Amino acid sequence: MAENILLPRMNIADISFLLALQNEGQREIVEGYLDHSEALSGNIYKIAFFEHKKYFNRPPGYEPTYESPYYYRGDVLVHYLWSQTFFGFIDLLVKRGRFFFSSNKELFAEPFLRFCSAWALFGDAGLMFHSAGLSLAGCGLLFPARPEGGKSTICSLASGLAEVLCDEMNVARRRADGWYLWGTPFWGDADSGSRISQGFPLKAILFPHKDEKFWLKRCDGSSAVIGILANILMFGRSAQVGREAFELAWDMALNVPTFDFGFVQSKDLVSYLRENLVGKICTESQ
Amino acid sequence: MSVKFAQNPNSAFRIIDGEAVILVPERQTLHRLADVGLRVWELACEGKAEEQISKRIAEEYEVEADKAEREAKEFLELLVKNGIIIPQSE
Repeated sequence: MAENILLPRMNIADISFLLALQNEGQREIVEGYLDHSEALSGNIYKIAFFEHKKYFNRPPGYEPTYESPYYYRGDVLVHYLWSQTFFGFIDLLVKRGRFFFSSNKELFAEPFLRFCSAWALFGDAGLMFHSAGLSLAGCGLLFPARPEGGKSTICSLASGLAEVLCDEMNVARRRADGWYLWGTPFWGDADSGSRISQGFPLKAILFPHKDEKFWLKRCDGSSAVIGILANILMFGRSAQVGREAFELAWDMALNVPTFDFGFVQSKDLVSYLRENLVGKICTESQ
Repeated sequence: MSVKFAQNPNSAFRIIDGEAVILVPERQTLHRLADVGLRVWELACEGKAEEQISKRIAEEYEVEADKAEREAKEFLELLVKNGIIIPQSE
């Protein structure tokens, strides 16, 4: 079943609110607006965002170094500090793409869209993970990990032997009959991956550890929850989001088997998982 | 007068397999408590005063009163410092 899980959920109100939250606790507020989109060729769309950064009520000691535009919101004096447009290209069929920020593309553009997507998903029992995602024999396997934790390595080793959903960001959503796993457009270093937009039943969560041999060890409940929460995008950005993520993570830890997974950089990775994990836990769904 | 405590109303927690995982959202921190630490936290969340907590710990874990008092006090201070519980004014 094909399902477009990201784009329909984004709207300007979400984006504006989301960016304000990014700087919660400071006085800087960034707001963004979807400026325009246009079809280029086939499924390729160009999307442009406009965003600007403001200071609400100058903090003590702060003096602008240049004359900046300003306006009043009620009694509050709002200064524009800078503004810029950024854009990207996205393939709506494959649901992956790249976004560019003219001066420093690593600084803002992709995190911006990841945050938008993560924020929109929170409202629908969905969590976006720093993770690798695979589908093996129809079973969704999620490998949550921080940078350099092995996400792209696992996907590279699984390429051609399992369905690689995404090597950087994957989405897990709770449905009435359990948790499901999808890839996202936000890829890391992998050159190629799945063209599938289908969700797979999430059958296991594996926290990867680079090692000299393959091993699996079942996590205890609290370790599972902490491991899950540590890799959720936007967890901790606000009290509200934190509590929602906390509850979802518990549900996930109670309903999806969770393991520490030691792995070797070898093409045997998929066969090991097939023999020692998938063959056992996916039996019910086959 | 011995200080009483309460759970941080913003925090969220779950207990599984004898361990509590506690989220303190405003600090973006997670804490894991077990054994005596879990019991001290539970008693603090019940609104017990510091003296009552150390007395209960001494009884339940069969430790000397002085030691229970000293260690419970230190641990309660740690819980307060991390925003897990808050001291209650009379």
